[in-house]
Parts: sequence; structure tokens; C-alpha cells
Amino acid sequence: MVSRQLIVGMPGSGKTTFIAALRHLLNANRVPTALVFDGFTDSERHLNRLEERWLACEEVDHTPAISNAWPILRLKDTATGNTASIAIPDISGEAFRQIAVTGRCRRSIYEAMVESSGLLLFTNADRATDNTMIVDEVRLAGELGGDEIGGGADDVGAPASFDPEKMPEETNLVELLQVMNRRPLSPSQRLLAVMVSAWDVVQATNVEPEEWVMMNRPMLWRYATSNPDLWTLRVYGVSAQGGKFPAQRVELQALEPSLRIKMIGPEATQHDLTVPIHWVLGALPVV
Amino acid sequence: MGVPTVVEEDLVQLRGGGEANTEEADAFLRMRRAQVIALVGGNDVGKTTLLASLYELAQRNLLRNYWFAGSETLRAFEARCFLSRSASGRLEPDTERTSRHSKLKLLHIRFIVDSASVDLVLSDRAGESYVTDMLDVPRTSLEMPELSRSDCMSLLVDGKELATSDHRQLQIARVRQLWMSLLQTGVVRERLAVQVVLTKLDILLGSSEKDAGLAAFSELVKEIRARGNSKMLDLTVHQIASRPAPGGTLEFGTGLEGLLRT
Repeated sequence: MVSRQLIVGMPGSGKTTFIAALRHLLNANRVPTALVFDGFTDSERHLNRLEERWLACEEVDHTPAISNAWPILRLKDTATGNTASIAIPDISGEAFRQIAVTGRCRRSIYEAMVESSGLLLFTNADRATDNTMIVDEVRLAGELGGDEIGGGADDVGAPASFDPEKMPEETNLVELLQVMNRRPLSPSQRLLAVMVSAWDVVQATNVEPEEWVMMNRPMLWRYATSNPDLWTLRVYGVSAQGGKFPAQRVELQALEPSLRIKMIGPEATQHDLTVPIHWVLGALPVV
Repeated sequence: MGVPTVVEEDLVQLRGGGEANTEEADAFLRMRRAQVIALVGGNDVGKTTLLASLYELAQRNLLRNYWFAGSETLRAFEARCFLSRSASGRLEPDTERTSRHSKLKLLHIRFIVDSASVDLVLSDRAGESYVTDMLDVPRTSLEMPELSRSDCMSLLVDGKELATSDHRQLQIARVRQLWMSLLQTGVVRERLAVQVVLTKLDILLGSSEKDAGLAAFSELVKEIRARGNSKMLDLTVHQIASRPAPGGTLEFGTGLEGLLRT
């Protein structure tokens, strides 16, 4: 039996890089992990391509919008010896974004939502703020002594109309979580691992992942923590590629690939990407 | 073993987070206990800006005692915030006017307050419906479900209009008549929570006629209270600046949390 597990996020949130790094980590078995490789499936093509790009220190997080791949991983729990096969979506973030933007959801994602007992929700620490209010921008410009603000409009009076495609990432993430408990689905308690990707850009600040989400994704934080009957929350910081390309490519390629990976969060060991998956899956069933 | 890749092209259409119409709100209210708040006031008084700024405060976790816990109408809130965000490409914030021809729209937001969940359903209707339609034909209020179903009625008074002698008396006269009309048709029920809300406080305080404007508001409140006395209303008075212009002394969303408290 293959269970579908949700790894979700908006475009550019780091999902695919995570999957590529996870694939390498499992195959290489060079660092201790909570879950380990338990065999290949009938088709490894998709994961092979991802891993190749990841090993070459190339950007891997640009899944084509039409992609609907659910690569399968066969995993074994190192503590119990139990095994499981999980299908994880390597689906363009656009498919997840459309849930909030248009209310349209791919059936495969919808069914996985229904089945899921938890999910990994990705957000990129290295993205620009997308919900800035003009009043804050004006105030900041004043404090800095500048007078140039705005997103490029020449005419102050030119009205732009609302475009749902431009909704902030955080709003889209909260809506995605809400959909999972909205009729006709029955509300149920799930495990939510918020994965803050590109953690290498935050690391130097010594902020804990939970604190980072509280400060930088306040609505997501409040929503998740205000609904303990729906969500049990954990927050992880993850750097699945280990640094920025191309600036750090040479430096990263000199490392043992598994050591490029950095993880921080509950029960995390330094390079183990399987910890949040292990937590979300719970005890693996015997297959 | 297993199927390596699942390929499915079909889509499921979900409700999405747009505004609720009356039927959707009714269905929601049957499932969940919620407070219905009717925002009543003329065009440009600041109803939609109030809604947008309340959401901005919730989204940024800037409300002291109200923690965002969800919304069935996230996209509708985002739509109301759009013209005040940098993403709109504008240099100055604005709020899209609620079209006179649009039907009643309802927005939902859920907060956690003192460990309890509080659901609010807030109305957004074009101001012309109140100051033109309802003043010309008072019985129109009976056909406005947000009024007959409301747990709280917020009567909005435009602080910008009070700031100039040219417009002050007309604003006072309109709000007075609106209140008289609401009382006469019976939509103001006994023990209804009523908020008299002075909007655009920043503009009024920044005006050379602020004392006259504030005095006029104070007199209006007395009159509203006196006319509603027989209903034993739970009446509170508020002064808000939903989105004050930068550079002033008032903070974004001044007074909005006070509205939630009552």
C-alpha cells in the first residue's frame, strides 16, 4: 500500500529542493537518519533527475506548472524496523496557489488532503515581503530620508483592480490549511510541520524557527496555534541545498553532499531531513 | 511495486474565500454561532476601509487581545486591502468603493479571545443604500437582512465631513435621520448593541475646526442616546482612524480593537 503524504507550498518555496536532497540523503546513507532507504520502486526516473540537479548544485525548485508527479519513496523506520511506501507530490506550487486564488484543486491533491494525517508546509525565508502596506512604505521612506516609494506606477490616481494572483503567500498558505477542514471535509486534527526553507539566510541571526515564523508569518502562526483542535504545530528551519547558487557552488561541491543539508527544529539532528516526515507519519505501519 | 506516478487531470472546485452572500451566511450561521455586525453609514464614511484595516491588524498580529483564528472570506479581505498595498503599484493607499449596484456582501473572521472562539460576520453594503434609498424610503431597512439579523449595529459618522463647516451639518442631519428611520422601522431592537463610531479621526484632529467637529459629534451622540432610550440599548461611542495618513500621531487602526471589545 502506498500512502500519499503532503508536501505543500507556493511557487519557489523549496519543496522540490527538499525532495531532491531527501532522495540523495536516503540513497547515500552517510549520516544517521530517522527513516532510511528500503528499496527502489519500479520507476526512479523523476527522483534521479532531481538528485542529479541537486548534486550539481543547480536550482531544482522550478517544477513545471503541468507536473503532477507523485514520486514514491520506500522507507524504513530505524527505531522500529517498520517499513512504508509514501508518495509525495512534486507538484508545481502553482497548483497549491490556485486553491486560494480560484478555489480549484487538483483531485489528487484533494484526495491526499482527505487522507492525510499531517503535512509539511513550506515557506521560503529568502523571499521578498509581499503584503507591504503603502503607509508603511511611505513611513519607512520618510525615516530613511528618501522620497521614492511605490511599485512603479506613474499616476497616483491610476486605479489598479484586485488580482487574486497577487495575494500574499501567507494568505494562500492559511487558505490551503483552512480548505482541509472546510465542508464537505470533516474537521480533524492533523500534524503540521512548517518548513522554513533557505534557513541558511536566517541562521546567522540565531533566531529559532518557531520565533521566526511568529515574527515573519504572523497570520500563519496565529491560525495554527489558535486552532489546537485542528493543528499540532512544529516548525523546522531547513537548508536543503546548503547555501546560495551560484555564489557558493564551489564551496558546496567540495563537501560530502549529505553534509550540505542543514536542519533545525524539534528532534532534528543536523542533516536529517526525515525527522519531520517521521513525525508527520507517526509510527510506520508494518507493510 | 506500486504505481510510480499518479497522473490525474481533473479538478475539484472548492468554495474559495470570496465574499459570502446572504444565503451562504445563513448556512454558516446555522452551523456556527457568530455575531453579526452591521456597518451602517453613508458612502465614503469608511466602512470598507474599516474592514480592510481590521484584517490588516489581524494578519500582522497587531491586535493585543484578539488572535486571528481563521476566515471563510480571506480572498474578500485581500480584495479590500489591495489598493492600500504596494502590490497594487499605487503611491497612495486607497479603498475600492463598494458599488451602489452590488448586493449585500458579508465577510467572516474568527478570533480567539481569552481562550474562547469568537466568530464575526460583518456586512459590507454600498453607502448609497443607507443614505439615499433608506432615507428616501425608510421601510427599505426592513429588506436589509444585516439590520434585522444584527447582534451589533455600528452607526458610522464621517469625521472628515465634520471637519469642515461646509459639510458638518449635512452629515449630522443625515446620521440623525438614519437613526430615526432605523428606530421607526423597528430594526433597532431592545438591548441591541449599538456603536456610534466617528471615523477618520486623524483628519478631524488635523483640521482647524476640530473642536467644532468634536462638539458636533458629542451632541449627536447625546441625541442618538436620547432617542434610543426607550429600547435600553447597549450603546457605546468610538473614535477610529482605520488608516491614518503617515506622519500623524495616530497609529494604523486606531480604535478598531475597541470596536471588537463591544
